[in-house]
Amino acid sequence: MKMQEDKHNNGLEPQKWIERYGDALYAFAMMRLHRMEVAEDLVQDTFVSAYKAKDTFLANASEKTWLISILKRKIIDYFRKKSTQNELNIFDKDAKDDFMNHFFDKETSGHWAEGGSPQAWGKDFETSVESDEFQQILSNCLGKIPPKAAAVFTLKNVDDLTSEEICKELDITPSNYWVLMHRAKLQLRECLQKNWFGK
Amino acid sequence: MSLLKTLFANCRDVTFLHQKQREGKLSFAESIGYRLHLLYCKVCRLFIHQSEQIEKCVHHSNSKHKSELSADAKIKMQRALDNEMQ
Repeated sequence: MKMQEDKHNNGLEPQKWIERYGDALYAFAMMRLHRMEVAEDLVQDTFVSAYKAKDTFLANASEKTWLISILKRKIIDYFRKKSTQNELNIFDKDAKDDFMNHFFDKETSGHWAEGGSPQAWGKDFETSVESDEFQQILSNCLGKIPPKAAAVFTLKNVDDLTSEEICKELDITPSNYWVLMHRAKLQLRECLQKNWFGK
Repeated sequence: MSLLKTLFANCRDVTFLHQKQREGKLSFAESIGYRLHLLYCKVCRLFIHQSEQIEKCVHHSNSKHKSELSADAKIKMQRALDNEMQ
């Protein structure tokens, strides 16, 4: 009976997936998305799609690796969808100006604005990194970056993709890539200063 | 950007160019403007230092990330999967 069932599922054991891999897949998704509901949705989608596609699983491959590869695709698709839907306004001149004026002088000088300027950190970096509280704040800050800028930042810094690969995956131009990366860095650094290093 | 503006990069330009610099994508003029600015701008040097620390830590927290699904989320997922398996 058991063998029959395994054969039917192409060597996979879907009834055990959630217990076995749920947390690992969720951690993988959270590291890239930093938004709980989104991460949960994509992990659930992954299990369902994997079951539908069970015939494409190659015997002897690792179940976990296979599931992660499906999840990876879902994350990229999520980033991609986000980037075509509502976020193109990042490149609107007005939205761009509002954002930049917070950090830099409105006038052509382009110097740091008073409120947006980096300050020396009051806490040691190496010790901070070890703290769970800091990791939580870092994750919250990453979750606050608009999805498209977050996508660029994450694919670069977590997944180590090249800028060319990222542009291709997200279907954006190199100039969009630099603009998004600039925003992500400005916003992330400031968020950490406000919520951790400057406290 | 005109050549003159590139050579006299301001703080906004330099924070923008930082990623290009990291990826070895600065043009010759950009790289001069970038380096020249950093010679005299302490705040931008600070920005770059802090940003690079943050990026390194995002990269390393890779393995440290401990996220677990809530019991509720697992039940919901199991239900969705069971639905599919029927």
